Amino acid sequence: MIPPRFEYHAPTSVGEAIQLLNDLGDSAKLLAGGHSLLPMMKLRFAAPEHLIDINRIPELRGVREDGGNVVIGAMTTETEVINSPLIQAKLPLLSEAAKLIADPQVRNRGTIGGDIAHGDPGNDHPALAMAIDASFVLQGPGGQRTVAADAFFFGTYMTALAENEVLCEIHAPAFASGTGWAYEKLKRKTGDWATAACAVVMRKSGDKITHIRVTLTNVGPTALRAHDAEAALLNNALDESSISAAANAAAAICDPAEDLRGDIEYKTAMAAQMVRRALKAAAARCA
Amino acid sequence: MSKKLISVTINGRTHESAVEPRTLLVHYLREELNLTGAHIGCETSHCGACTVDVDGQSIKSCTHLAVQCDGSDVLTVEGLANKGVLHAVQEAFYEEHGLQCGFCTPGMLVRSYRLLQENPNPTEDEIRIGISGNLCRCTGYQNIIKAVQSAARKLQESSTTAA
Repeated sequence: MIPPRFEYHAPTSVGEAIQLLNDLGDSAKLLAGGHSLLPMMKLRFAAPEHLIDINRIPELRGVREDGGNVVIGAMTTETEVINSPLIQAKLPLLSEAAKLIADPQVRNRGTIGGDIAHGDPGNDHPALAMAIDASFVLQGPGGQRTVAADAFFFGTYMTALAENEVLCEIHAPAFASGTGWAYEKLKRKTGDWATAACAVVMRKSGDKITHIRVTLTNVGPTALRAHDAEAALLNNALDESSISAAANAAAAICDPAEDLRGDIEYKTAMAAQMVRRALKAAAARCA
Repeated sequence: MSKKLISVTINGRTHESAVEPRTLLVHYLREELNLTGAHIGCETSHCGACTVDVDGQSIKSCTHLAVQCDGSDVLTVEGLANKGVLHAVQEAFYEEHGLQCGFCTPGMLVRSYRLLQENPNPTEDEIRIGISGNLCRCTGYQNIIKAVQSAARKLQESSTTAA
């Protein structure tokens, strides 16, 4: 399979990429790791006339600390997310969860920014970003703006990113000491998307849960934040009854598409199960 | 659609070519350069038969554009043997019967080579995870794992001897 013909552009700065996006309009697509876009082009689900390859833009790469925030360049690969000592220390949820994405070769190319900006509900970083209270720095012709992960995803392949904007950075507060976290992902095989997955970030004071995020992957048109599940846990102890209440509340917002991974009932039940497992795993890591 | 000039080093030799932007690396290797080691399997980045090394990292050449390799250093299975002497990884696959039909083997060899560069003494689990992007429909993987373990020993012995 060969992609349809296109013109190739390889800008070396974000400014240049935005200029190209602005000039070429909706006939252009950004090429990040290419592991969603190139297969879609081969299958003729996408046929952009122009590809703007952003792999040669150094300012989009790398991980740094800025005050209490971790700043991750959008073109940081999954392999780099796994191996970054800074992410391992400050946002270990991301480096551990990235190991569950695709396979080693794909992780060498696939980027955190591409995974987010693509808007595919099967991708893992949207739910992870919501769980860590991340925000995204978007740059367009008029300058930069910041959008919370919570407010970024509108629907399948629909996000807050405008046609002439580039997702540049992911910002997230470093985990406070004692933070528990987990990503439980049910998948049929290596390289598959989740049948259902759940990210949890938790802090406790004694037995009482003082901070909680519960987010879900691939059980709706976007990644979901399970607000009612969080409400069932906040200021309570984690026990069988609060776990069940949270799992049921999370299941109630699931709206998965039936496919070869399972029907709606099965996927919803698996989402609830991933919530139960992730809550227990996160609690075990709380200090 | 204009062609782009690229300069790419493959198995130590530099090639200057004009490529159509849509040319995938695997097609460039096989059809322009007659390097048919990297195989075209699933074409959707799942099977790993097209695995090559680009700038010291394993990638799937069916999901990478040749034009993106301008200035890069590429290693294919053809570059593993040295003057007719098999690389330790190739020798180990041969000795341990790490293949049956052979279709996945070029990808397995190049991936195993890179895995052992990254982790010279992997556990069995690390090998299984390390080659999880390469599918084999014949062997059941057992002999492939043995081959990678044997290659790791060979490489460590030869580096000890060299030191």
